[in-house]
Formats: sequence, C-alpha cells, structure tokens
Amino acid sequence: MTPNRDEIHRQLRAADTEQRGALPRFVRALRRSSDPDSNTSAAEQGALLGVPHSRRGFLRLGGITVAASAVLVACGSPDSDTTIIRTGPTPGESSATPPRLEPSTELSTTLLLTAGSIEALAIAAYDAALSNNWLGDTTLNSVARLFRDQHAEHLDAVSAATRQLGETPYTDPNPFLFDNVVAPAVDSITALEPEDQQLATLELAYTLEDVAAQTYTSAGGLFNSAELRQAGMSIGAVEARHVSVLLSVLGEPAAPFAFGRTINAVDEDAFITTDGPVTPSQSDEETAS
Amino acid sequence: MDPEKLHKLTEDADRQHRAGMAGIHQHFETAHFSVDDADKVASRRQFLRRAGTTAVMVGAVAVPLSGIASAAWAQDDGMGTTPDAGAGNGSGASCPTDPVDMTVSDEQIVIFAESVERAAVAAYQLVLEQPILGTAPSESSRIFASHHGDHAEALRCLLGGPEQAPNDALVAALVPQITGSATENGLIEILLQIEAGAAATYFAALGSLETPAVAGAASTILPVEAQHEVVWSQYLGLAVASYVPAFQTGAEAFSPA
Repeated sequence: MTPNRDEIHRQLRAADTEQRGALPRFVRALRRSSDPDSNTSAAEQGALLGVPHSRRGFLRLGGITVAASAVLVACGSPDSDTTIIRTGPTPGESSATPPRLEPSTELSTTLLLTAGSIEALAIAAYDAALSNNWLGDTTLNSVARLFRDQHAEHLDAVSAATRQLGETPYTDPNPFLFDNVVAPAVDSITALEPEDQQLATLELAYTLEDVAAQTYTSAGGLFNSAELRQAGMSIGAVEARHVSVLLSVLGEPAAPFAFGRTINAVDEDAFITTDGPVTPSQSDEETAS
Repeated sequence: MDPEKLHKLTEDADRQHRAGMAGIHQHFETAHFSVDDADKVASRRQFLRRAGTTAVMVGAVAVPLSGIASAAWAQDDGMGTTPDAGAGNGSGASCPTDPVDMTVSDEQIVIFAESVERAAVAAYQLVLEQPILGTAPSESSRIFASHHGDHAEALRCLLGGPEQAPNDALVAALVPQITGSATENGLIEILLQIEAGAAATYFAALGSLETPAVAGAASTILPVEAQHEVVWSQYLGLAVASYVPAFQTGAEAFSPA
C-alpha cells in the first residue's frame, strides 16, 4: 500500500510543531548536561537524549536519529533552529575512561580492517549524495567531492597498512553501519522533497564523519605501535576537520569540545576481523537463509 | 555559513586537492605507515632526542612567524619551562585520574606539550587584551583558550607533577607578533599558526610516544587543535582544501631542537 503523501506530511507537521515547542527546554537541558561543570553523567546524558548509554545503543539508534532528523527537516526551513544531537560524556570523562581493549597485533589488524570499511562506507554515502544531487548546491557538491576523494585516499592508506601486516584489506562498506545508519537515512532522504534533502544529507555526512573521527581517536590509544598510532591520527585529525566543516555549514559551533570524544567510536558489533564482519549485513543473512 | 561565502572558499578546492593528490599514493606507504623508512624513523628519533635536550626552539621552517622562527627557547631548566611559575588555568587543581606510568622520553614530550599549551593560553589571553578582535572571533578565542587550558591540565595530570610554565621562548616570540598586529586578520593569522603548529606537534609526538595511554591522550587533543585550525581558516576565508588536507602531517610542528 502506498501511503498518502499529503497525510504523512500533515502528521509530520503536527509532530514538528509539537517537537519545536519542546525543543528550547530540551536544548537548554542538553546544554546544561554537556557542561563539564554540571557533573552530569554520561548515562544521564544518554537518558536525556533518549538513547541508551552504550555504543551499541548509539549505533543502533544512529539510523533512527538520522531518519528522524530527515523527517523533521521536511517540515522546517533550512534556517530553522535545528540542533545537532550529540551524545557523549564530559571531556574529562572521555579522556579518563580507560580503554576496554588492550593493544595487540590482532586488535591493530581489526582496527585497520574496520577503518577501511568505514572509509568505504563514507565514499559510498558521498557518492549517493552526489549522484542524486541531494545537496542541490554546487559548492556543497564540491566539498562533498573533496571529502569523498580524501576518504578514497584514506582507504588506500589503510589498505596499504593492512597489507603490511600481512592481511587482505577490507574495502567494502561497513555492513553494520550501513544497515543501522546509512540505509535508514538514505530511505528517509529519498522520501523527502528535494528542498529538504540538503539538510538531511548534511546531517548524515556529519554522523558518518563523527563516527569515523571518534573511531580513529579511540584507535590512537589502541594500536600497538607508534607508527600505526601516528598513521591512524594522520587520518583521524582530517576526519575531525571534516566534522568541523560540516558543523559550520550546519550553523553549529565547529570546535565544540576540548577533547576529541570516543564514546561514539564503533565497537565490536561493527568490527571487521580477519574472519570478516562481526555483524554480517542483513542482506547477506537473508540471502543465506 | 553563508553558501555564497562558502562557495568562495571552496571554488578552488577540487583543483588544489587534485594537484595535491599527485603522487600521493606512491608516497603514502612509506610516508605514513612504513617502519622501514630510514628517514622517517630518524625523524621520529630526532623529535624524541630533542625533547630531552636543554634547549628547544620552534621549528624554523614550519612556523611562518618570523619571531618564532628565530627564537631560542629558554635554557634555564632543560625544557624551557619554569615548573613553579603557576601560570595558566587550573593550577594545582586535583586530577580525576592517577598519573600514568610512562617512559622518561614520553615524560619529556608531555612536559614539552604542556608548555606549548600554556603558551597558547597566554597568547590567546594577550590577543584578547588587544581591542581588535570582533565579537565572534573574541568568543572563539575565549573558548579555544579554555580548551588549551584543559589540554595543559590533562597533560599535567598524566605526569602528576607541578604545572609547567608557558614555554618562555614561544611566548617571547609571540608577544611582539601579537602586540604589533594592528588588524583582526593579522591576529587571526597568528592564532591560526599556533593551532596549526599545535596540531602538527601532537602528530609528530605520536610518532615517538611509547606509552599507549599517553598516545591515547595525545590522540584526543590533536583533533581539537585541528578543528581550531579550521575555525581560524574559515575566519580568514581560506579555501577549504588549504585547511582540510588529505592527511595531517608534522610539517608545522613546534619541534624541540
């Protein structure tokens, strides 16, 4: 059954009006919770955001968050008071939290394979945005092409490092992130009116770049050699720059935190090991069954 | 950001980027990941050795601030720092975690990095004292100064020792630059170079740091310095490709020398 588009839009407008009424209070509360002096725990922040305090929870909800953002922009002007929802602990908490994983050659290999899959996912996402002209703007398309090409260079670099460790590079988009973040977002963007696709696409790009930046930042303490740590951050610092550019385009502060966060770095569910993805793609599983 | 303004900033992005890509693939393996490249390994070892010498200076080639380029660092205590100076943010504040057990060479790098962070705080404070910056860059300056203060404190807590003073020679080099600047763009260019230098310094340090926990801390600071660099570059209206390179490098690092 094909849903009535006008009715969907009417319902979305009603939901948006309600949401906008609540937004100022929500934003104030969120900002208070993000203040390092507020002593708000990460769990409390997560509860405020309506997301569970776990990486798995974020990633599972990442797609929903992006989809919701896409829906909301369908009813708002590009200049409206849109807030990028961020999760994460206070800076001190982030830097003080010990990694759960211990550096090892095996973990380094997994991180490189996973990094390759994230780069491939970003390339695919930017390709989709460009081929569908979702950004609808020459300048933004130029930025998207620049970022896509840089991700391609990152993929080449990570693949080279993977080969140096004697393993075969992983160059497919990360299946876990694709299924849980990108696919739902793409569905939502596709359903939007053309004038509403730009903001939703920028938010998807922000989400992917932020996950990439945080994953490299996390790996900076997990790779088992100085060479890998430095090489990883030669890319991670660039992903952070991508994040800043996107934040400024979205009208948000471009350098909002004192420390690079790691709370949204991918965890084991999204890892790619030498045996393949920890979480195979849903389409692969359906095919197998 | 105004799309028109962004357009101006990015119209050369693709061209510059593609020019910069020439040959990158051939060079990348050795430039970034090889442990066999003698020059790269030597460079890392040099950074490490210099961190422990009695005199340090800003890399003359990398930092296009004439004052900094020729500045000799203080030679009083071996690291260009005065531990009991008490400058900067959060002096004597308690630390959320215990000190990290690290190698002597890592300790020297952390002390050096903290002194650079304290110098950055001092530079921002001096910039804010000049009645030149507009409202928006002033607010950015206050935020970024706060970030650098946080970085300095995080580094101090890694060591569990006394607070380092702002690096004397860096401050001495920056002061005439800042006080002699009569325009907003002039001041922002100085701040941009500080941030670019800081980001590059952490990148260079990561090639030498041996303790994973210390490298992990440096990895959380580097992206923020890079983001500061983005902000100042945008204020100056630079092309995106100029401040978003494909890879972070250490070319502009404040290197102990």
